[in-house]
Amino acid sequence: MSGLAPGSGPSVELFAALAAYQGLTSLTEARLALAVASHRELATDLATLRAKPMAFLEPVPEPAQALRWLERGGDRP
Amino acid sequence: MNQPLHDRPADLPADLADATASQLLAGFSAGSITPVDAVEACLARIAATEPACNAIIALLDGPALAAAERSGQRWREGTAGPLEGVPYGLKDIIATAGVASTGGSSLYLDYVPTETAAHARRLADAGGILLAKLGTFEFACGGADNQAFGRVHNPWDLTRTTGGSSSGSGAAVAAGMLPLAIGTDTGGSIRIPAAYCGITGLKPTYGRVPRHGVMGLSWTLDHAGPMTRSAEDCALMLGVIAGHDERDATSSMRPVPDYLGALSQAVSGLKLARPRGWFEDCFHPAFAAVYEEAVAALGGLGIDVVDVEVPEVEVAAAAGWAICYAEMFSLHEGHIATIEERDTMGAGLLGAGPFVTANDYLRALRWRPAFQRSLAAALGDCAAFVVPGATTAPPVMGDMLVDTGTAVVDWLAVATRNHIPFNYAGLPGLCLPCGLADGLPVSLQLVGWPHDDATLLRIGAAYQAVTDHHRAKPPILSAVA
Repeated sequence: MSGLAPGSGPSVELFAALAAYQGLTSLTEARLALAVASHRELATDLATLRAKPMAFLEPVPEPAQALRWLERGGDRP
Repeated sequence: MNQPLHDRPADLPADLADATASQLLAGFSAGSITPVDAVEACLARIAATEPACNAIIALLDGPALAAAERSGQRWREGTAGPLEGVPYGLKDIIATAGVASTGGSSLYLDYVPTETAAHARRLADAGGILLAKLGTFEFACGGADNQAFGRVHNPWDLTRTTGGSSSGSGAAVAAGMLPLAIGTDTGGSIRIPAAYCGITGLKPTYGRVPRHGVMGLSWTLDHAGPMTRSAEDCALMLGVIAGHDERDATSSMRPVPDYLGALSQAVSGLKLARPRGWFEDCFHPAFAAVYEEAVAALGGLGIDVVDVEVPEVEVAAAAGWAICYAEMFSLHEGHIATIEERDTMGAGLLGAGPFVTANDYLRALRWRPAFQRSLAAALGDCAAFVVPGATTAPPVMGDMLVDTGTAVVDWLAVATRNHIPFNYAGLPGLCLPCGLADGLPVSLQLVGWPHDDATLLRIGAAYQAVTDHHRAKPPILSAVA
C-alpha cells in the first residue's frame, strides 16, 4: 500500500485513484465516502492480519490443506 | 380445511402454522391432517403477518396448493417422501428453475434460472412444498435497507432488524409463515437472524451442503443451511439437503449420517468448552444474564461446561473479513459498473474491496490451517464450544446501532464477531433460542467438530426437550390469536 502505515489507510483522493485503477470509476461522492468508511473499518483488521508472521520454510498447500482437515473431521483425538 | 382439535395427535398445535415440520409429518402420517391443511394454515398466517413483516419476495400459493394436493395423494398411496407435504421457503439468492431468483436486488429482478439449486432440488424431491422465495439483504450483503423490496421487520419488534443476510428466512419462520427455510451464511447470515428472531439455525460444516445454485458472496466462507423452530427440524432438513454434488467441488464426499437418529443418543457426560474473552467481550448485561442461565441449564442435562482459551480469534476474524472482501470483489466484478444501483451497505463493502491486496488474501488463506489447529487444541476432549449467538439486542433499523452495555456502536462488527471465525475455520454452528431479555430473544451457539453436526443437533434437541424457549411466540402473533 505504497508505504502507508498499517491501519492508516489512504486519503480520499488516493482511495479514489486506486479504486479507479481497479475499475471502480462510477462512484458518486456519497458512495465514495461510504467506501472509504468501509475501508477504514477494515483497515484495523488488515493491520492485524499483516502483523501476523508467516513461515517461509514450510509447504503452503492452501486451500486444499484446510479443506482436507475438515474432511478428516478435524483430526479429532 | 383444518380438522377439529379432537381428531388431531395430542401434540399438534391448535393452529397448524405453529407446528414444526416434525409435528406436521406426524399428523400427515396419522391421517389427521393433510398437506393442504398445512399450506392453508401457512397462507392464513402469511395474510395476517406479512403486511407487517415483509419477509416474502414471491409467494407461490397456487403452485404450493397444487403440490399439496399431490403430496396428499402420495401419503394416501404410501409413497410419501421424508418431507412430504411440508411447506418451506428459500432465501432468494437460491436458484429455482422457472421462478424468479432476484438476489434481493434491483439488478436481478427479471432473472429466472433454468436450473434449481442442488439442495433446493433435494427438498422438492423429498416432497417438500416450496411456498415462498424469501427476503434477503441484497446479494447476501446489502444491509437491512433494500431498495428493491423494502426492509424485513423483526416479528419480535417491528422497528428492529431481523439481522441478515437471511432476513426473510428469519422473520418468516419466527412468525409461523412456514416451518422450514433455507438460509445462507458467510459471516453469520443464518445464525444472526436465528438469534435475533428466536429461532433455531444451523450453519453446517463447510462443504456439508452443496453451494451449487446459490449466488455467491465468498466461496471460501459461504454455507447454506436450515432455519427452523426446533433442532429436530434442523436435523430433518439437514438429512435431506446434505451430501456431495458434483457441481460443487468443495462439497464433502463423506456419507450423510442419520441426523434424526442421532437425536435419541444421550448427552449426559458430554463436555462443552466455553471460551470467554473475545466471544463475551461485547455482552450486554441483560443478555449475559440470560445466557448464564442457559449454560447452567446445559449443566442440568449432565453436560460439563469447562472454560477454555482460544488464541488469536481477532486474527481469524480479520482474516475472514479479508477473504470476504477479496472474494466479493472478484465475484461482483461484473457489477462494478452498476455499483450506484446497489444498496448502500453492499456498495460500501464492494467499494472497499480493491484495498484488500493479493498478499492480504493469501495470508488469510495461509493462516487458516493454523487457526483450525488452535480450535481443535482448545476443544480437546470436548464435544463442542458454547458461545453466545448474539451479545446484544437486534438494532433498530433507523440507526443500526447496538448497545453492548458499555458502548453504542454500529451493529455489523458486533453481530458477526461470534460467527465469522467459524466460517473461516469451516466448523458447524447451531444457534438456539435460550430466553428473552427486555422482551427480545437471546441465543446460545454450539460450535462443533467438523462433520459432527449431529452432536450439535443432539445437544440442541436435548436442551429443547427440557426448555420452552424455542416455543416462545413473538408479540405480532398475539394479534393473530
